[in-house]
Formats: sequence, structure tokens, C-alpha cells
Amino acid sequence: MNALTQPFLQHALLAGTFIALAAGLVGYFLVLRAQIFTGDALSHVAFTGAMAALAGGYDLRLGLFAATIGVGLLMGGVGRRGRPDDVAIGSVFAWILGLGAFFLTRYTTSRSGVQGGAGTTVLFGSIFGLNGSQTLLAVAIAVTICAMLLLIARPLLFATLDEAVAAARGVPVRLLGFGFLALVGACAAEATQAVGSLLLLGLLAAPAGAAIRLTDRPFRALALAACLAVGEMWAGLLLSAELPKLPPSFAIMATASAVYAATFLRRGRGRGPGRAGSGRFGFGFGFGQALVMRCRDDLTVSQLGSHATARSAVWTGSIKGAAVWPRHPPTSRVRSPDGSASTTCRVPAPG
Amino acid sequence: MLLADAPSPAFSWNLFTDLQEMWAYPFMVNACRAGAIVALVCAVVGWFMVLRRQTFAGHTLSVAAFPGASLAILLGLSTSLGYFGFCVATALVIAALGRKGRDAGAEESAVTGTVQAFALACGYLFISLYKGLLEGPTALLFGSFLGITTGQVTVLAVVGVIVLAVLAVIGRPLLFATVDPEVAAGRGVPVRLLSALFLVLLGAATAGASQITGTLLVFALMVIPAATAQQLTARPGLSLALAALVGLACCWLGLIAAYYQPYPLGFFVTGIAFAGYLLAHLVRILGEARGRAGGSRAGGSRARRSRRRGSSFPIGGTA
Repeated sequence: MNALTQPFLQHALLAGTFIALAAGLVGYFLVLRAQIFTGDALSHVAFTGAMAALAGGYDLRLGLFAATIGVGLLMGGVGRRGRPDDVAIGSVFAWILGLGAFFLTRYTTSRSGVQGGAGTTVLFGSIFGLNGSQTLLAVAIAVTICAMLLLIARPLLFATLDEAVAAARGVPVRLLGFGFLALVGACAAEATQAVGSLLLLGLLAAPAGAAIRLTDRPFRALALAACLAVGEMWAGLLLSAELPKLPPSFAIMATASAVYAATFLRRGRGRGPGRAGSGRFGFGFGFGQALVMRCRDDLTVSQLGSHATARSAVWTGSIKGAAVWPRHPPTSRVRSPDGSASTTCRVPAPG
Repeated sequence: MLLADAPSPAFSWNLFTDLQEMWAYPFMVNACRAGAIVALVCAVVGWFMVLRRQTFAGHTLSVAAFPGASLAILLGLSTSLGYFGFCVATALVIAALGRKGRDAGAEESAVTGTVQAFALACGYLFISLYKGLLEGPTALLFGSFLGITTGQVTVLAVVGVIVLAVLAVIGRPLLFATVDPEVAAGRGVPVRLLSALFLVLLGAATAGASQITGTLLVFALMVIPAATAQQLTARPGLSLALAALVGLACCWLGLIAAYYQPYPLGFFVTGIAFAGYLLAHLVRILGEARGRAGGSRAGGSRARRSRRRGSSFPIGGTA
């Protein structure tokens, strides 16, 4: 196809490859750590940062990176143990997005020449508008993000799957959490240039979600997420180049969603990593349990429901859901009051 | 647009004439009516949403309003139809998907995130296919109060009454199922049905709010008033009423500000709501600090309560 000879498509493919690679790697950990909501919040922050920079007369990317990395670190600092709370994030990002709308209006009304296009560009991306130097910069930043993530991948995975044990083994859990949030921020700013601030969540979540459905092994899933992201990016870009009516960001998101949906068809019974069903016990179960604990950890503090009830609900829920009970019911020793005799009794299996 | 015809409205400190002048325009009256309905419904539904920790689902629903509205514009249908149709449909989808993924929280959030981004991408596609919309997607995303018709207000009112009525019926079991799902299920409360029903109500409320604040800023009316009220008091009835009051205040103050200033309505509503949220945090922290300073536990809390009543804050009683 002769569209490939066009420089805009070559730039888009080159930048898109590395942006997708970074998004796939970061997104995998984001899904694993159940911090998708953080990614969501950052995507809104990216818009405001870019708009503020434009309204102030600076380069768009400066605002983008400063805002996302800054807010990423801030959210880690505000939340408990580097884990922010839903309602607080929701409130803050609604306000930040409102601020973005304010800057957008300021920008479009202060300069008569520009119309609402700038807002749309930031919201929905403009990967076909990259020139040579912008492409090089985007590639350099994306490569840096990938390298740093791979550098901390092992301890980060450990800290993600079992935070308490990792901390006991001397892994700097909190520092890793912060470093990861900074990387997520940088990655969000990168992805904004490709698919726009509103759609970057899909680029982070869809390949990672698909990879987690396809394999239980963490490093294989990490590689798979990156590959899927790059493949989806290529397919989307080529599709959009062939059919000019489709905006590139829509084509990329549509491909990514289709691939994710296809993984649901492949395993029709819908066993996620949290269900250690019949076959895969060993690692699958530990992995699922770690995931359950990880995500429930965010949900415990409610103002009416006390911490303790939520906890117990988590445990009963997870045991029922995991459907794992040893073949021989566990026994427990019961001592008679004087301490002389002891008998064993069986603990009934739940349900 | 319509505002350009007006002799550039200027804010005088005489509030009565300001209001009279503002309400001389039918679009402003409609906006205030719609704002009041939406603020009330959203505050009540949002209160349950915050309690149930379903903010992410609420956000996804609000995002679904964008493709709904843009598809309706593309096909030449009423935007209300697009808003309500898409939001309620998405609520049903989330309810159906969420059931089996109860334990796989991480995966569920990946699904939600993907659905959300895909919905926005679809909305963008419809908008770019339509081309005729002057301001691009900005008005749909960040809200506008200029185009609200009397017909839309009627639809909002009808939907609002239905949502509140259903919520009044299921309110008690829903609260029970929210606070302690295990015990509620044990006592025979249909927890799953309630949660699906609540998602549908949430969809309807978000669709209403999207028409005022724009699809991206629904949180300003859904989450923030409820979070503010729950900061100030833990008593369900009181904080529910307080949330409605805060929502109404945010919405109307935002409308008044947007009438005098050229910035989008969503900006003012979110700004005011967030300021209120911060203020509530401050009040709570001050209250806790005073309570700690005031001697024994019982005496301290009583002293705090009476001191609060004497102070300028109208809200007393922390449980």
C-alpha cells in the first residue's frame, strides 16, 4: 500500500510503536495493582496540564509531563501507603477537569485564530500530526520509560503480589510504589500524544487485561501485554490510514477492545485470574489470592461499615469464590478444660 | 448565541434585581429548573454510590453518555433519548458483567476501563462523522446550559421522580446490603438484584447530570456533594439531606456564575463543589482536633457538640 510511503504515517508508526510498548508494560502493572482508577484520574490531569500550558503560552508537552508526574506522585502521597482512595480521587479529578475546561476556554478566547480544535486534539489525540523531531522525542521518552520499568519489574512484581512479605524481605515497597506512579504519569503523558487524554486508559487497560486473561505467568503476561499493545497500535494506524473516515484514536481503541473481547470468547467460562478453578492450583491460586487481597485492600474503609466487617466479608467472600478447600477438611485440636485430654474435631467445609 | 443578544449582563450586588434579570430569559429559568432536579436526584443517588464505593462504575456510566448523545445528534434524534438510552444500557451491561467477576477485582477494573475508553472513542467517531457541530465535542463534554428546552426539563422531572420513588422503596434494604452484604444476604435480602437495580438508577441519574455538567464532569454533582456530607456527619438521614442541599447550592451558584462569565458551566460547578469539599474536610479536622483537646471522651464530644452549635457551622453532631 502506498500510504506507507507517506511521512506522517511513518512518524506515527515509529512513535506509536514505542508509545504502545511503554503503555503495555506500565498498563500490565497498573491492572495487576488494581490502580486503573489512578490511570483514569491521570488521563484527566493530562488534559488540564496540556491546556494550562497552552493557555500560559508554553509548550504543550511541558504541561503534560509536569502535570501527570506531579499528580501521580501527589496521589501516592495522599493515599494510605501509596494507595489513593476512590472518592478523594474522584472529587479531585472532577475539579481538575473543570479547570481544564476553564483553560480551554481561556485559550480559545484569548487567541482569535485558534478554534476549539486544540481541545479536541488533546482529548482525542493527533498521532498523524507528529513531525520528525516530535517523533524522536516521543520515542526517546518511551524508551526511557520502558527501560526504567524493566529495571524495577522484579521487585515491583514482588511488592505487588505480596506487599507484606516483600517489605519483610527488605524490598522498598513504598519507594517502588512512588516510582511506579511517576512512571505511570510519564506514560500517560506519552500516550496522550498518541490517542488523546481521554482514550489513554484503554491503551493501558485493554492489552494488559487481555494478557492477564491469556496467561498466568507474570513475565510472560508482561511481554504479551507489550506485544499486544504494539500490534493493536499498528493495526489501528493502518486501518485508519486505509479508511480516512476513521480517526486514528478510534481505530486503535476499536482494535484493542476487539482483541480484549476475543479473549473472553476463547475461555467462554470466564475464569479470571482470581478464580483458581479446577486445573491450575499452585501458582494460579497464590496469584489469585494475592490479587483478591490486593484489590480488596482498597475497598475496606467505609464510613458506615466498620473495618472489621469489611475484612471478614473479604475473607468469606474470597474463600467462597476461590472454591478451594483441601480435600481432607482441616482438623483442630480441642483441649478439655483441665488440659489433660485432647481430641480432634473436623471443621466443616463452607457451603 | 443567546447571551450575545443580552446587553452584556453585569453583576450588581442587588441580588433581587439580578435574579429578576436572569430569570427574564426562559433558557435561564429552564436551566435553573433542570439544575435543581438534577442536583437533587444526583445527590441522593450519589450518596449511595459513595457509600457503595462504586465511583468507578459511576464514572463509566457518565462516559457512556457521550457516545449516546453524539449518536443521537448524528441520527437526528433527541439528545435526551441518547443520554438515557446509553446510560441505562451500560448500567445493565456492567451489572451483567460484574456478577461473575466478583472476586477478580483487577480484571473487572480492566474491563471497565476498556469499555470506558471504547465508549469515548465511539463518541469521538460519531462527532467526527457528524462535522456539523460548531464547537466540536466541547459542549457535550464540559456542559452547557444554553440549549435546555422545556421538553427536556419535563423529561428530567419525570425520570427524577421515578428514580427517587424507586430509591425510596428500596432505600432501606439497599442501605443494609451496602453496609453489610453478607449479613443482608443471610437475612434474605436480594443483594444481587438490588445492586443491579441500583446501577440502573445510577445510569438514569448520570444521564440527567450529563445534560447539565457535561459527561466528563458528572462527578461534580454525583460524588462531591455526597462526599462532603459524609465528611460532616455519619447519620444517614442527615447526611442525605445535606448532600441534596450541597448539590443544589453548587448547581445554582454555578449557573449564576456561568451566566455572568464566559467560561463553561462545568468549570464553575466543579470549582464550587470542590471548594465545599475542602471546607468540609477542614471542618472535620478542626472538629477532631477540638474533640481531642477537650478532656475525657464523653465530656469532649458533648463540649464539641455544644461548641459547634454556637459556632457559625450549621452542622452539628458527629457520630
